[in-house]
Amino acid sequence: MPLELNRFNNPITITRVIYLVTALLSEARPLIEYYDLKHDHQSLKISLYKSDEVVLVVSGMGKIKTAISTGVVLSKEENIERVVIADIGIAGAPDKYEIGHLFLVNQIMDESTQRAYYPDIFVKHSLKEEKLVTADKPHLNGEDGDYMVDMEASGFFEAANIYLPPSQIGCLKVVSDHKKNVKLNREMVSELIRNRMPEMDEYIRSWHSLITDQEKEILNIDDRQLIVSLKDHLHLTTTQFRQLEKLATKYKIESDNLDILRGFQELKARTKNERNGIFERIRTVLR
Amino acid sequence: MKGMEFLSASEQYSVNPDFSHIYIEKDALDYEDTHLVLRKYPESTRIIVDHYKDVFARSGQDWRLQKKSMNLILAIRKDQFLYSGSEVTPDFGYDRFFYNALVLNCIYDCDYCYLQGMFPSANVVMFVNNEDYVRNTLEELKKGPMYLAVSYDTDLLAFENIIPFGSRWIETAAQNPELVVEIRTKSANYRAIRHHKPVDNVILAWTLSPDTIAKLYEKRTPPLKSRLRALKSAMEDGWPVRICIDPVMRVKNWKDHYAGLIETLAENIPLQQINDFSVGVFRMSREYLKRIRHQRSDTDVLYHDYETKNGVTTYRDEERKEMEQFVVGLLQEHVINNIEVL
Repeated sequence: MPLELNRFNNPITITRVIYLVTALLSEARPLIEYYDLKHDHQSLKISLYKSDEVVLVVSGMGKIKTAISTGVVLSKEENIERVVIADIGIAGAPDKYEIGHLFLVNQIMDESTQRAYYPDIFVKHSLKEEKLVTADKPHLNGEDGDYMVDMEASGFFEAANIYLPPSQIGCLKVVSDHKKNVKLNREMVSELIRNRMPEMDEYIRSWHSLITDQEKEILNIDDRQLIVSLKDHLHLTTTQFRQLEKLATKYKIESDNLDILRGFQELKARTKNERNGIFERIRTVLR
Repeated sequence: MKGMEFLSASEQYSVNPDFSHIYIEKDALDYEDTHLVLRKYPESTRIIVDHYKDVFARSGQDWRLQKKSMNLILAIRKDQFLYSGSEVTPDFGYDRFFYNALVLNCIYDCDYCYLQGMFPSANVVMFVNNEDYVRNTLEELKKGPMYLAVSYDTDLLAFENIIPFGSRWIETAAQNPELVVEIRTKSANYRAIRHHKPVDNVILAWTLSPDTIAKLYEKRTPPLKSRLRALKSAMEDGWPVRICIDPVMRVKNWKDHYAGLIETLAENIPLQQINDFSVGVFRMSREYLKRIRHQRSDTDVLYHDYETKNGVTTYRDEERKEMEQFVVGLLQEHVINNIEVL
């Protein structure tokens, strides 16, 4: 795994993880099969399934459980810029939509708070987009409303948005009923999700690629280590260190490397005046 | 075993075109301009929202990614139809200098643009109740002559084919000689307003940069040649035209680039007939620059050894003066006065 420095200049391993969240194990099972995920027995409070690239959280039903599970897994993620997270599951829908139809959600409305959430959708896709209402209780009486209904998405989005921009949060729902009280056993739920796995996978892969393809940091690990070593070696002040970072970034954009700074690693500063003098020389060469 | 190969291949994807999603305030649904926009984008996904800020002001939005695939928000402005000019903008000698915000954000993607630090989103907001802006402006005009920049936190002419705001303000100014309107642009879309008779109190202002600077920092903008062609047509038609060389950027060989720009201008444009010039070096609110640095690190604009005075970050005094004097000096070889330095 490649290494990078985080914002505190500590080395971290770069991972590019896709997080998936489902409420029910029956919704999770097709994902476990498709991505060949293994149960993480070390996680006791939250049900996790993992591979190197995919982490699946089975949160339990309802927006509070989903929000807690989502928050817990994202709070531990160091490479937050490189991950996406998707809430996947079943939902009730108006009669006009067939059972088994897959939707990409572009608006989530919390029924009780009337607060709306909007995932950013940037990747071209062939899925149909729809609005989803998150309710505290199931809608089982064939209620009107030209939208889908679930019980988790608003809690999921609210928690995920603490850590991630709306462009890295997504929601995919498969129609399970027409907001009527129909009996669905576990295998039927799994089958609904399983039938849509290739389409979901295609969308998630494209979306994740877009996110991880974003512009990389200008300064790589060698550059950052060089700058940190100059800071430590010359006893630069915090202000000088910040200036050095900016000037080095500008220089790197223009010149493609920071070799010009390597000579300064040999210099020693025994007094403040000497340090300030060397720093001025560094500023001059980087300008 | 699909999981094992899940991310190994380089994945292909396309990004949605601009305005693939149009968010519409529910109160804006019945406005004529809303229908006008929706007719132009029949394929777009439409999402009804309570208030434009529900989308525009979401927390933690990815500005850079949004800029690759901008969405459109149609909204109703309920107040603040006029703002007083800020200290870092030119007032061109008018005591009563105002600007308005018919559109928030811009179709172009300039590295040095303050909008990146000002707005939480790169999505474009268009306010579809232009008539309320006009009514408020005419009320203010009763207090005395005023100068109004209508293409301020945006580039209005670049949007003229979507909603013809420029045309409407030209018509308003034509009926109100004490209202001086400036339409500032980097676009080459002069043809969209060419059908209007020139109006003495409407100034068409083009922001020009050397081609090297435009290629480096002004993504999505038309090249200098196209902007010059549009500017020249406007002059020939009889419009008052302003040239803005702003921001002047201190890149490698900057003197050569700006000397080349002025030379190109002098060769192609009768500079004596230009209404006026404005020249200003790169400057930005310290807070905006801080926010932009948080979003992106891919442009050297952010890392110059600037200094900050009174909350405004710009080149150090000696650099700033050198740049201003150099560009103004070049212009003065062709024109005597009417050069405003910002």
